[in-house]
Amino acid sequence: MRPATAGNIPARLIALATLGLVLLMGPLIGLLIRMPWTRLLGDVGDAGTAVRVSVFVSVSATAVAAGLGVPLGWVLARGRFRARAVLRAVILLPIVLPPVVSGVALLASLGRSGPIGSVLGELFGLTLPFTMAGAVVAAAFVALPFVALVSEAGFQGLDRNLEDVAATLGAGPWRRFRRIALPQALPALGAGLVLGWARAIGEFGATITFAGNLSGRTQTLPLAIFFELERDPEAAFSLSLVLVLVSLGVLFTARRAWSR
Amino acid sequence: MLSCHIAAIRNGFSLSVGFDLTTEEVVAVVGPNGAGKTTLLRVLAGLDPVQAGSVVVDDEVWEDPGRRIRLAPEQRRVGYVPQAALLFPHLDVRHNVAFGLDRHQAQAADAWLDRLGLEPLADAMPHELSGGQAQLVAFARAQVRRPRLLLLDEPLASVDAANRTAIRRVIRRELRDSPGYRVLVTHDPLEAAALADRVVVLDEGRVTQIGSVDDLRSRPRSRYVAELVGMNFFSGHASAGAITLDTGATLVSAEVPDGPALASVHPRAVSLYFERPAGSPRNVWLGTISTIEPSLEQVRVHVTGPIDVVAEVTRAGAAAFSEGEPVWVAVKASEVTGYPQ
Repeated sequence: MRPATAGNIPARLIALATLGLVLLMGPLIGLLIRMPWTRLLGDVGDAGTAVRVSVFVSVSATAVAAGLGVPLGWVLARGRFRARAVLRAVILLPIVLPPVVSGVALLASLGRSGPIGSVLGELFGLTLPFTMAGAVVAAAFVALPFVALVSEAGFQGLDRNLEDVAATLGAGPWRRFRRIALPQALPALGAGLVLGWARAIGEFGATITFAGNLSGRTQTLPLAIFFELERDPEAAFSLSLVLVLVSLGVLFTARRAWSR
Repeated sequence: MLSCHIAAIRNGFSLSVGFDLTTEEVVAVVGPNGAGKTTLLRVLAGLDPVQAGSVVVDDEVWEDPGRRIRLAPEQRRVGYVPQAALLFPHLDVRHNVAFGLDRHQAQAADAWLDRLGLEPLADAMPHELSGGQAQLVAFARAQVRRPRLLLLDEPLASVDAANRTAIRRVIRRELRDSPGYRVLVTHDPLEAAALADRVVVLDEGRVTQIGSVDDLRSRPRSRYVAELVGMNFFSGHASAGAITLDTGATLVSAEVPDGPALASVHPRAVSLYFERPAGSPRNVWLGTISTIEPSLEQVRVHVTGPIDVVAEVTRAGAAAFSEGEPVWVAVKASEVTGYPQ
């Protein structure tokens, strides 16, 4: 790659790009300026419950999204069927859908009287709305597309000839996936998981619609921040900083891991 | 007996071939780029489907779309050594070789590494290997399963010239020692001659000739084969020992049956003179030297004229010739191998 030189970027684009950067960085800088540094630790300590719920919900949701999204990515990458474009659009839907609509859709289908929810309740005595499991489902719902699409791209980038060779060595479809494709796609899958996790930890709309705002069960950090904003804005600033730092930390470690 | 009579269509390219082979012989499939050689190997391995015909190995039907039979690659006992070795990049050499084995047979992998002199590389990763080493590992990986059908795609293409002889010797030895059917693909006639007993010539998806390397050399059936084995090639109509070529010129052969005929002449049997030669040669004409093409020991002199021909002379002899000059060409009738079309 040749080094970037300012000379081949037009001045007006540089101006617009700078404006974009200000739009991105300004609010973060504002947050830092308003930050009540002296009470930071105390505020974070008070929000321990919400932090714990957020960690548990986001990690569980990422695990669910990985377990279902990687197979979806494989089906998209290697399946030979006409409905692939339709399937891809369906998988993309939660990304473009307003999160509150996702929450309403989850409530309609998985709620007590919903077509799936009523069956789950009758057969397994399982209720999802306004439970921690429900918060996990909501976060997994919005995280799944990222995992699926990034996995698909990762699998598409593999040399299929290697899978062909594995087939001639007696490896059936499962072994080809497990022993050849999966290990080679790990960096891409890692990127997909990080994206999915980032989406899950930031989840707000679908969670509050489907799982509510129950402290210790469904109140995640974003929900806590939102409700703290009315009671005690400075506490909301402290908690926001925590989310910013955690997200930055994960982004950087993940980048280093997959750009190796 | 392995019988392969198939028609396969893939991306608009149609492959239609038929041949049988036994475990007694190593078969080389030779042809220009795009002739369908790799597709043929992939069909035999079960990686590409066929539209018609069948592949039958030892009375076991591997593929027959008419009877809706198709064994997946993993159900066929094949060993496939692809052109670029295609080792699994995330596994070391030992685990690459052991990939096709059950866990309790894993020591067979070590035996093969030993046999091919690869044991010092057992813990190396594929990206640390040279082209030749990678080729041998890919070969061991295929052989470790004792396949009924061994398929080699351009086994020496990714091997640098310095190691080619050594790798070719190992592959030749291993091919001889393999008990099953053996098919290799190559575009290099020298490789075919070194490794195979019989050659299947493939061009544009069709078999144009099947025979031993000697057959191909003395009786090429197409200009492509003639050029492949470095022979002069002519076609025409024979009558009483004289072949009237398609260009109108006549070539006398000591023995050729009447009727549509082909003829081959070894370039070394073509003599060049500055003066019209006296004496016995039956075919003599005046031509013009078009190209002088030196190689390591011999020089190939291309002469245009009533009959275009290539003569092979020594480097010392070639020093007297220069391009664009007239030259007398003589070929004895006994050196013209004529055979029916």
